Amino acid sequence: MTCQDTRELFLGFLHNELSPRQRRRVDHHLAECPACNQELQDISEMWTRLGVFPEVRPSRDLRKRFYQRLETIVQTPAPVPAPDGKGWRKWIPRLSPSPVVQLIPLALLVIAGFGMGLLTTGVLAPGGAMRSMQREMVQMKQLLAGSLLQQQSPSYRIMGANQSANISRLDPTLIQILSDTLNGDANVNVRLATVDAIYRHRRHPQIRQLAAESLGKQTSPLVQISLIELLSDLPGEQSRQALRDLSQREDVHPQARESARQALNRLEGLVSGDSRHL
Amino acid sequence: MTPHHSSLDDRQIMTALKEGRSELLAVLFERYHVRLFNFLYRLTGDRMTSEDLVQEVFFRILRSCHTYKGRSRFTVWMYTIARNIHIDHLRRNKSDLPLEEVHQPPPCEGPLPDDHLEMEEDKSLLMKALSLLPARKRELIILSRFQYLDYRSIARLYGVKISLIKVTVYRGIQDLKKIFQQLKEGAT
Repeated sequence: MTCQDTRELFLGFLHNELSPRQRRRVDHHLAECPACNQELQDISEMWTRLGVFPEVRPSRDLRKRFYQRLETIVQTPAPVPAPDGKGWRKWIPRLSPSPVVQLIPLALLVIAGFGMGLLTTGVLAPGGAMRSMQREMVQMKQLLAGSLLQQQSPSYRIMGANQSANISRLDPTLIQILSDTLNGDANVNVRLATVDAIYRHRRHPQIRQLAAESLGKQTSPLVQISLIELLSDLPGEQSRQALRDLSQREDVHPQARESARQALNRLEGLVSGDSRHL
Repeated sequence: MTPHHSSLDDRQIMTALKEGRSELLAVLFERYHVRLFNFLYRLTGDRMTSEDLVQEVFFRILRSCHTYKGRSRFTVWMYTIARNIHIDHLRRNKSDLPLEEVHQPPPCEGPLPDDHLEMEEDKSLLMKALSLLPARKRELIILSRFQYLDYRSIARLYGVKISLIKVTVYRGIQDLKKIFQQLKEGAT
């Protein structure tokens, strides 16, 4: 077996994918060839070195943009396909979209209908009536977001979380639903989307409290790190205490613990910086 | 609506997409977007570009779902689309994109221990070395080292024999090592 033949089997050798015969031949060659031994060591070192790149998380924006585009597609009726001659019953599922898909256009219709009602009854006038209509529309959006968040399908719950992020003011019911989702949803991606959603409302006292209390309840390092990012943007004893508690827990993933420690240092730096200015 | 869509396998989801259930694209997105983002990020070195390309991959999956025949694994088909979208992107931009310095460690306020600094420096040199490899070798190293695709799947993706893939990855690693050493010597 030549050096070239042996070296071309190195990857298989490293991954333990060689047949017993190939393995014996490589072992035999390595025992006699210091150059190939060195080469194997170099390749193995390079392969291991490549492992230092951790997985990178895309920005929050990617998920948001994806769901916005998907929502547009879902709401657009698909072109009706040509019948395949196997009977009209095959068409029934196409005419019966899921309850949630029905809910979206319904909610939009209600919003539009409400606006039209105000116009035709003459209630709509500059000032108070317009503000009242805006308030009603916000309420409708809250209802829709809350309903999506309680669907069985994780993709709809993620849509609901994204919808919540786009609402200017959260009402107590929606905050409660977001809280239940963040603390109790079995799907990590839904919980991550919920953290993204509450990020926009992080200055709200109840959301601030929710984020701080939820950190200790999370088990996924991804969700913990996401919440840590959020809390690091919220100076205050509540955030510091939550970060301090997590950074001292032995059962937490080292990366999450380290992120909590760094965020805590930043927030404590802010406090000492403030006191220096006093 | 059937509950627990997340328990459907990729082929079942593709069948549903063909039947017009576009909303199920969300399940594929949740399953694969981070993996695809990392693949494209390691190829382009640019976050924003990679996020745009990830979106393109998913919506092309939706548009092209009728061409998926289910003969190969879904991930092989998905990476074929991702590769094509990356190639289109390179063509649109005429040349290979240089890797930006996003892989540099973030600025640190306090002093870092020497070994940590060296590790971060090695990491950024290695990323640069990877960007200097020919596109195909780079793709193959990324697919085999980071994307957890086995060689059989990669061979299907490229339509060549497994042995050829292994040899190309091996040669890619050899080239990578040479470039890395040169960069390291240049940096010291």
